[in-house]
Amino acid sequence: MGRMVIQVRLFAVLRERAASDSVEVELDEGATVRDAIEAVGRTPGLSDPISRLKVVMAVNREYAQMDVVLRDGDELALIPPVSGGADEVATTERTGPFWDAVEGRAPPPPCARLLGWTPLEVEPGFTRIAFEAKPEFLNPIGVVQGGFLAAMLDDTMGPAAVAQRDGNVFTPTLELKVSFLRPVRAGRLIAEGRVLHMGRSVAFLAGSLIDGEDEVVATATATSRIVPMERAKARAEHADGGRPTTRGPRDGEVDPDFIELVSSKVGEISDATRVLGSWPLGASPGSARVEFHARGEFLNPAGAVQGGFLAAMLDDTMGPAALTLLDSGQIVPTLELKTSFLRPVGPGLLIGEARVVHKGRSVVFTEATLTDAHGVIVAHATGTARIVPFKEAPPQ
Amino acid sequence: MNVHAVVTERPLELERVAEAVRDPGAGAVVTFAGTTRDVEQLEYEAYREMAEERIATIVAEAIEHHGLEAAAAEHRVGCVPLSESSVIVAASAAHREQAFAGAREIIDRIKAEAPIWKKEVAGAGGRWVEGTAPLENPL
Repeated sequence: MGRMVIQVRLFAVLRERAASDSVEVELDEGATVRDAIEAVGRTPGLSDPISRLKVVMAVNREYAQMDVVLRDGDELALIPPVSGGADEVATTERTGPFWDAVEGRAPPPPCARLLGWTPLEVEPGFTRIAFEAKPEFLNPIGVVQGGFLAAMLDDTMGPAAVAQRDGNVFTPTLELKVSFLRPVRAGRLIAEGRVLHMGRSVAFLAGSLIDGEDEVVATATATSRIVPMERAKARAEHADGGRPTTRGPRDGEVDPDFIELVSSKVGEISDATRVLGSWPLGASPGSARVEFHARGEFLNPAGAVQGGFLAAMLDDTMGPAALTLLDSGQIVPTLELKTSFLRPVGPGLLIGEARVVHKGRSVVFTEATLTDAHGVIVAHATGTARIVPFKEAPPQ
Repeated sequence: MNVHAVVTERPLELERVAEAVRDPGAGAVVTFAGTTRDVEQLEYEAYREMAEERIATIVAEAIEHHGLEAAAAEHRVGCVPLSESSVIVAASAAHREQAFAGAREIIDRIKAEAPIWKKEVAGAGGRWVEGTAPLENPL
């Protein structure tokens, strides 16, 4: 039996969820409208709205019944419930702490404030949020440190899932993978988050980050748990690192090995590093140890350190570990960072330890762990970075 | 048959739509304007080609059902701020009963059948209004 590939146009909520105004589906010859809707429903982001909404297929600009047989070359469109000519606006009240923060009736959580989190659009399963990449988020080569982009994406995808559950849950991130497509300058960024699939206790999410020139600069996927807010808060309360939660500026000497192996390659410690309260503890060829200070500003609504900041710390440990093996004048922009969040962690001091798994000619693979005061691992990451001469870095 | 159906991004004008149904045999012209209310603005999205065809069919069928002289409908897409019109319908007929009934049928069917969606935009609270599935309605 022959196969045909048919384009299906998407509109409104379906277009937003799929992040595309059409999808291509491959169907057997003789397939019906029902088969086509099923096939579209397998597109990431569309299974939930298609199962929840009464969608109708238009074939060649006419509404079609489910058993209509499709032919190659048909113009297909998936039509969610129409509301165009409706003159009634049924605005239901959105209340509670989540919606209060989204709609500006209450201040956003600390981690959101630090990132300049400004919601532009929040609806079930979809968010569009503006962020401010501040000068203090820049790494030594003058571009935004990837971890902060990860934090922005995390703070965009989570709310898409929370909104889909009417704002009554919390969605601690289990795993976050970010691909860094382009270097990012300081300035305004727009992130979009969408729910790919939502089960009873786990959600799969996707996000993208767009710069002022409308270029996609980073994409992410994440897996989150779905828990009642009260339980998330209770867990975070027991997650205090057990170390002093405040710390004065460090005095004394930085470890000479760290200066020799890392700082000599990139010069000054970057602003991004300062925001994370980092202090180099030591380095040897292929590895680095860095202490971080998780401050109150990094906390999410449940009172735990937002995952993106933990990712930033891990990134900021893996970079130095890679630098120990490079020539002077080479840098290692992160291409991809995947972080698993093993336990919620409260404010306090954390230790990052990274090692190079493999160094090729132009790419280096690293891994890192973050441990709390009790030596318990709270997060683990793997990273892929490119090795480039400093002069190849994008112009300021 | 004098059928006028338009989907446009430009602001709608009642006068222009009424002008489209002017007819020497018409003793009555009824116009209807649907207007954004209670929300900062509405954002309309359409499957434009199909929406225009569908509205033209609805208008033509209303002319036939009610013996209208002419009928017209325009729908705006994109952002429609508070108090501006998103849809305008006009119907002309020899007598007012026909004109009222024809205009009523056109707006009710556009609402139920035209592939047009609207999103309420209030601060960060954008959301798609969940309407009706077109096939649930008698076509």
